[in-house]
Amino acid sequence: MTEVTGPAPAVHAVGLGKSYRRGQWALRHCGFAVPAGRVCGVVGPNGAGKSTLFGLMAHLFAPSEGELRVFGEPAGTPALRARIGSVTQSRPLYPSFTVEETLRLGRELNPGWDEACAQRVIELGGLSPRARVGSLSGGQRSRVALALAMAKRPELLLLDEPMADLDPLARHDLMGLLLSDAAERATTVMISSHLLAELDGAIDHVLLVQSGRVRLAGDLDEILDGHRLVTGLADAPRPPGDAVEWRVTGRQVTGLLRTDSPVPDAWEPSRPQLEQLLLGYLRNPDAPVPSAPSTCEAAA
Amino acid sequence: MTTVELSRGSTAPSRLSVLRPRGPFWPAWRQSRPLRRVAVGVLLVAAVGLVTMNLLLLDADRGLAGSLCALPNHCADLNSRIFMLNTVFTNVVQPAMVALPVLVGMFVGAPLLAQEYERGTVQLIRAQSVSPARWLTARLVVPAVVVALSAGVLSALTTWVWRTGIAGHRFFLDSPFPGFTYHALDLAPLAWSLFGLALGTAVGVLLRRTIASILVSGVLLLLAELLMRFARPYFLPLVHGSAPNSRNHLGMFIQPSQSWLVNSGAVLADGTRLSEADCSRNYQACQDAPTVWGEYHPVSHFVPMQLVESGVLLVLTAALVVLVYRRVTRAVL
Repeated sequence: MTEVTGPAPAVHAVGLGKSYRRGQWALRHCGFAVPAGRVCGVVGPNGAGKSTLFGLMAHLFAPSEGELRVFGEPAGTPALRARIGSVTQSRPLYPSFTVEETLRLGRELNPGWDEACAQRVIELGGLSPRARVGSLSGGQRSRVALALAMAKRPELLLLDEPMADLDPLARHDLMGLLLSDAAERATTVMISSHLLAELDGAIDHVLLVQSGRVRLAGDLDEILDGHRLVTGLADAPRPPGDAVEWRVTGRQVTGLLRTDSPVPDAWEPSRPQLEQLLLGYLRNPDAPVPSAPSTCEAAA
Repeated sequence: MTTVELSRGSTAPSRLSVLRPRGPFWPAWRQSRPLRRVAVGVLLVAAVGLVTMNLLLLDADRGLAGSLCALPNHCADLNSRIFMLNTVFTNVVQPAMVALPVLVGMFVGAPLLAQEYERGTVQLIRAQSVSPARWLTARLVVPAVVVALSAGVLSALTTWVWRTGIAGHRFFLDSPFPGFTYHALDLAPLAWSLFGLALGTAVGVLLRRTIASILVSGVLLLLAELLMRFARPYFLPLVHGSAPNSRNHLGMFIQPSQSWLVNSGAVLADGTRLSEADCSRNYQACQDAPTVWGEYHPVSHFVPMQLVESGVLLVLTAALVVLVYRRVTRAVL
């Protein structure tokens, strides 16, 4: 059930739904929980509802149905404001402000501001403090937005594709800084990305959003352990377990199964990589999914 | 002595730092930089222009009153100077003061929050620890203070020029009531500018598009000024007057100097009251009527009338500000 014992999860959604227009649901029947201190990857195709989910968590808007709790409190509680940091996809900043002034804005509006952290993120990118935000490139703006969110020292950091327009080197450096920082302070991070490889090794929790539903949610190791990537001959009897994906190429078959029991000898099993698992689900939107309540259980 | 000096020395920096904008007032102060620059520029130009104008007017007045007028052509020069400056005041300064609240609404009020929504920076603010209500308070107070100070100084200047240099002149007696003059004097520029700011801001919050908000608030403010022109005479009870008709009157009521004649007409020998409209239809009847009547606001009504109007505008401004708060602080962005 949805009963949670122990410390409240950082994010806990029950039957969460959001519709912008009557009858059109951007997100519906979402149930999941992310324990505090985790780095949770939020993945899914474009328009799946990821940004809607981030908007709900940051309380840019209220849910149309269901319930969303952050650190045990309903999203939107004023006390949560200082505890959540967020970088939205459009990275709004004041174009007429300089980088320095943008950081000053963060300092003036946040009591827990960490100037050293902000400076580190800015200096890592070699940004001039006197440069106008409006004159920066997309990637540089992302860095300023990230500095603003990180230096606020939130307990929950919501990053909606924060690295999308950064070059690979900057992405690597910033990701390292972000992760070491989060580990040091036990910050919960929710991060979405299209670059599945980028998330591998960075996240320890995963949330797969597709067509406005949460298809998969839980501890990354548990999920990977619960799946088998099998290869074998097409005429061999199909192994037990729900097939997420079953691809026949000539006489060869590759399948992604949801099972943690051993597979028959005719099949060569392996533990899937994160990218393989996610692609398996993303390619097969109609594949069987653990039912909604069980995603909650698995997550909690 | 020493302790006094010491304590004064220690409080001085803290008194200064009180003035330095902090918290949500800092970004609001920073964002008001273009407005502050324009305001300082406008005030400098207006101050130099209006002071020079009035000094020239007063000098011409003194010249006309004094013996210099005996010199050939000198009076004509002085009179043409007065006439020219009066024309400038009527055709430039007064329309500018009528336009002031409209411009404030269009270019200060409308973009104030519309731009925040358009650029998505409200999301940036929502991601900070400050509450939306506190942020909004700072965002509104800073431009309101700049606008109020600027409108106050401009009004003080125009009122001074009008009262000492223009209305006091013996040849160019002007009433404070006609539309354009009314808007340039006393409380009107201040009350109207703050109302313009509030209206523009509210339109911006509702439309969330900068250009559309600028256009809509401009139209609405012009309409509001026009509507107020028709409502204004009824803020205070009109003074009723009647006088015997004579050849000089030609059937028209002559109101006391500088007052605002709102209604007039004639009373026939049989006691029938004719209105202005009746008189324009039947000119002869009014011209031959024994009595003429008029309803007017004497010049002593000017300040009370502006106070009532400012009160009405203040209530409207407060209602618009409440609307803005409700819109900005609600959960849905």
